[in-house]
Amino acid sequence: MPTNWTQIAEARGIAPDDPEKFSAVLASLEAAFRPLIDTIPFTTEPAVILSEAAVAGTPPESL
Amino acid sequence: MTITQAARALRAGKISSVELTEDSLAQIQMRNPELNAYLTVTHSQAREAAVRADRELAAGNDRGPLHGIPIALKDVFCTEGIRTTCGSLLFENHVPAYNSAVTDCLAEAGTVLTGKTGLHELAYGITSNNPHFGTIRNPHDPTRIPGGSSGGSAAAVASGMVPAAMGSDTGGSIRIPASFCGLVGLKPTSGRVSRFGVMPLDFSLDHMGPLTRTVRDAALMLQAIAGYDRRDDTSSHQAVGSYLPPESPNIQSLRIGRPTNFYFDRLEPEVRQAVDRAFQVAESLGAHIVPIEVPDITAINVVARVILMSEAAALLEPYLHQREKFGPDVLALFDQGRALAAIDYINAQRLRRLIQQDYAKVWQHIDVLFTPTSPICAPKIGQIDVVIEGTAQDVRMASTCFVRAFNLLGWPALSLPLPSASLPIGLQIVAQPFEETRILNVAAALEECWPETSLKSKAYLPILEFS
Repeated sequence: MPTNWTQIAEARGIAPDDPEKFSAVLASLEAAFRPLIDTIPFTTEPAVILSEAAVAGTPPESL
Repeated sequence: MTITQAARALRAGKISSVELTEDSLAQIQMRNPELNAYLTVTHSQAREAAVRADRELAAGNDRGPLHGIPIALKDVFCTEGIRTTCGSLLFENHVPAYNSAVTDCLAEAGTVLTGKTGLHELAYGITSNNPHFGTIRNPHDPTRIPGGSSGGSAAAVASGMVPAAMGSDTGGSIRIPASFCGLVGLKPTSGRVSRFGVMPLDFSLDHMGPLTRTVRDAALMLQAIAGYDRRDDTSSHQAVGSYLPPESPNIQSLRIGRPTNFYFDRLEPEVRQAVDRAFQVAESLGAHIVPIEVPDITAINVVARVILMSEAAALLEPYLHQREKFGPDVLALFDQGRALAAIDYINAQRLRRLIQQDYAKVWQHIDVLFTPTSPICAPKIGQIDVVIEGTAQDVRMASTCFVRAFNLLGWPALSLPLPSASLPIGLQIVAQPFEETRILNVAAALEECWPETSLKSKAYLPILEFS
């Protein structure tokens, strides 16, 4: 069942300037994205890593 | 003038860095009112740096081929004591207390910083039509966009204000303006160039790279900025290559992939013709053209958009109560990103891993991949849709559809200007991670077949000429 993006926006306190376009863009993205999720094997991990510095608790110098 | 030409003239005593810099500042004064490439011009700092470069060179302290060369930085690279806006009202008066890693590398190489170039607001878009700092125009046709988000850097180089400028690329923001402005634009491998001190748009898709008039100049710039930086968690320990192509680059027997799907489905006729010609030229140089089916690029682009919208929204969340400081297109993207669920983002990152494994298989059959950089030439300012072979498409989607995948994959990709009778057209050359040397060699071999494409451009009006 497609997501009701207007309700999502309301629930999250998002007030888009153009609600119609907001919903249309997300609906189109969802239609293309959802079928891909079904192809992910159960054991696939995200392509993001916990860096050595993060594990060690050493923050890189940052902005 | 290119970096290579200027460096030679400097060492032959035909010109000084001060003269090069004054020429650059004169070009900026002459052309910036129309093109709006620069947000900040650093006159006094540039003149001081040029004097210093001349002194050092005269004393025999030669820092290498970039020494004394005027350059510009996209206004996302932090510069100590110099305003860095990210093209946003949020950072309108932001003066960093430190330099980005790239800023430091280029200073160490002896370059002369002439200023900070304009961009699409927060680097989140491809038109460079900035509602706060003004529209940036394409030097080839000022009624058209230069592409973005590094539009100011591209306009500055294409118009001859500087021989090189730095850009950043999250979904094509170096390669699209390079293509639209007739320049070489290089997005290096993820981790090759430090992101430290660059105002981010996205944590896992941002890349930093140069825009130049020639392939050799791009190689010289990359040489200066590549390398490990402990301050960037994603920085790579991989050894830095020797990027400058040989005098006579050889692509004999090189396997060049030509996608049989997606990339050639719908193109403007001029783009198709120019890219077809590039394949023919490569073949005439001894390369083998290998037809290859690539993974579903539409799916890859969708995954990349979910990641970009989520990460960018997370980044800007603390500022979103200042809605009046955002332009409408960027605000719409942030609102959309905030609506996405955490599980969508995580699943997009899981899909990214699968895509990387799947797409990497192409390297069993080819050494490099050629695609058009964009299916279209530079659109008009304000143009929303473009019709390609009878089908209307959103300009933003059309411009990014061939380039975005390589941000997701983290692979190096370069846009090379192709000969064109009208507006500039770019060829995208892609290789395996950390194979920038191979990309630059291939690009240099092709460039030799149509030398000085961008220098012959009517957009480039040099003041100084050397024999």
